[in-house]
Amino acid sequence: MASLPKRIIKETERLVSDPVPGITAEPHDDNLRYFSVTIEGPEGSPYEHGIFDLELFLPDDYPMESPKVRFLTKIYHPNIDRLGRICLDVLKTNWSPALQIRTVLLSIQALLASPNPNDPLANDVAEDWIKNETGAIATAKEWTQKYAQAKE
Amino acid sequence: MGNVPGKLEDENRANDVNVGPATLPRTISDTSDNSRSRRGNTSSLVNGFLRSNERNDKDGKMKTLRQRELQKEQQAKELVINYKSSVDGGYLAPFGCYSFDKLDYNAKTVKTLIKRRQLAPFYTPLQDYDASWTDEELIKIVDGLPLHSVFEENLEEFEGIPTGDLYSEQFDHLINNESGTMSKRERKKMHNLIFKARLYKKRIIWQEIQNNIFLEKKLYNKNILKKNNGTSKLDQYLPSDELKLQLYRNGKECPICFLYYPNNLNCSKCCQQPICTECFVQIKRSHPHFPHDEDDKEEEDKDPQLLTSEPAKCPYCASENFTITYKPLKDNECGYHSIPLIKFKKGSTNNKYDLTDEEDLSSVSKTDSGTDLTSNIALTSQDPLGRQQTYEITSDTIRPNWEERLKKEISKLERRSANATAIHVSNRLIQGSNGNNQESQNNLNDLEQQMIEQAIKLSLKENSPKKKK
Repeated sequence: MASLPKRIIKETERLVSDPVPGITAEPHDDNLRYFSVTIEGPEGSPYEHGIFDLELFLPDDYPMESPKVRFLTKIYHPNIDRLGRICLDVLKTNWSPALQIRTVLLSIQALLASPNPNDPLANDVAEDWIKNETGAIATAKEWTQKYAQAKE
Repeated sequence: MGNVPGKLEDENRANDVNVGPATLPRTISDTSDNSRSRRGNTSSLVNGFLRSNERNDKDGKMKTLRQRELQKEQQAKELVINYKSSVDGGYLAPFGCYSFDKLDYNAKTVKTLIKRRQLAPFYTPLQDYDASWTDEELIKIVDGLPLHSVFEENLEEFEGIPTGDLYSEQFDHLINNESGTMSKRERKKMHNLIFKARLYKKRIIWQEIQNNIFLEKKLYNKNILKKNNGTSKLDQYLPSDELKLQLYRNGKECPICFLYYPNNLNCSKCCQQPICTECFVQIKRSHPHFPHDEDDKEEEDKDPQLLTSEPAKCPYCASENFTITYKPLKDNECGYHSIPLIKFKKGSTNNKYDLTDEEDLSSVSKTDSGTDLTSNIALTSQDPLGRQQTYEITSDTIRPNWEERLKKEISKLERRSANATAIHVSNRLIQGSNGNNQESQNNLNDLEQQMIEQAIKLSLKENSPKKKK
């Protein structure tokens, strides 16, 4: 395996020494480009009190290419599909090498706080969200209860 | 003090890796295939159209394959760091933070910009920096820096690829086709892969030769200093201890690679953030793609002419048309067009480099694509003597061929879609010829007409750039 760029080493160190509140990210021992991530549902959102598992991978061209991030926990959200793929500009066209693992995860947390059904990835969820927002929020809360609870 | 040591300069040039001029591509005179006349038999017309595309494509490539390979070799040679070619204590080629295949900028242009002090040189980065290090510790760390980062000797993509004798130009015999079952396309693919694997190995060897010279000279200087034999015998191209301190004390971390560099980094024009040259040369226009409102269409329904490639945005503030400026630090001045690195003394009024020397400028203006470098660099300020001080550099400045690349991508897609249309039409013709009524005959004529139009359109398009030359 190719040696790890200093940037990845430093980012990992700084994630440990200066963690982001409500977010954890730990590299796997056998592949330091692969991280296990948890994000707490933001306060006041339907995802509050939920803890969501994600996986994050830093491709060879990182930071010139964005990290690959995916939800592992089932989530009811218009911009996250059944496979956990996330529709977020900074993960695609608006990626910049000055962004970091930290900033990407914060953006995802912000996406949980403000779902955007007008730029959907999960079409059915987005439709539900637009037609019946109260109902959709209730479903999102229900799913959070059901799937996003801390493992004992 | 105060003289421009002409010797240093000459040697700098002589020691830049020598690369002969690439031979000019021959023009393709035989274009009769493009404008083939209409034949009576429709099915042969269909086949002819398909074939003519194919043949054309291949002929064009066969003629320039060797030249394109030579060009790639030349680029690889330009990327070798030579310790004797130093500008203000940095070098003209990258240290190697990013992989070799990602270095696709025009190396000649960048070298010239660095020599003209319009772009920060490629400094050797420190992995870490600790302000509590004593001067002795810092000098020791800088002394231990390699000229180039360590190469990955065995890349996964070249695993099991034979490279043969690197000194021999011929290597097609390495393509294992004993069973004779390989298609032309497979053989071509293999040829490309072997070429790339060989180039990668050559690249390592070229750099290692320079690394060894660098090491030997460092040892040589160390011995002379130990024996107190006076400084006159010292190798001139290695930095003095004062220069090491001047560069690496009070440096900066590049916010993209997180490595530690001397203070004189490039700066984003829009938001004044630092960026090292090695990261800057990685930033480029978006890969040719369709506009987002085309996303919903099927791949084959998209018009190749709609392919676009936007200029790079600022990585820090996302402003359009990312542009950097560079202001050389007078205090760091040494090397090219100035005093030898070994004679650097802090605070001494070094010789002013002569920016009116336009010799290098003209050589860059004649880059392959014919783009004039000077027209790409906007002057932002001038001092009273008329000396150009700050330049604006974009990723297009160092990749003058971006438009060519986009056009290539468009014509590739066009050829593909033309082939698809031809196959599609030929299927319909075959179906049509089964029925014998008037309507299908009309259809047949229409389709034929369509195809001829397509063929003419395509051949006109393919010929037009050649006529310009």
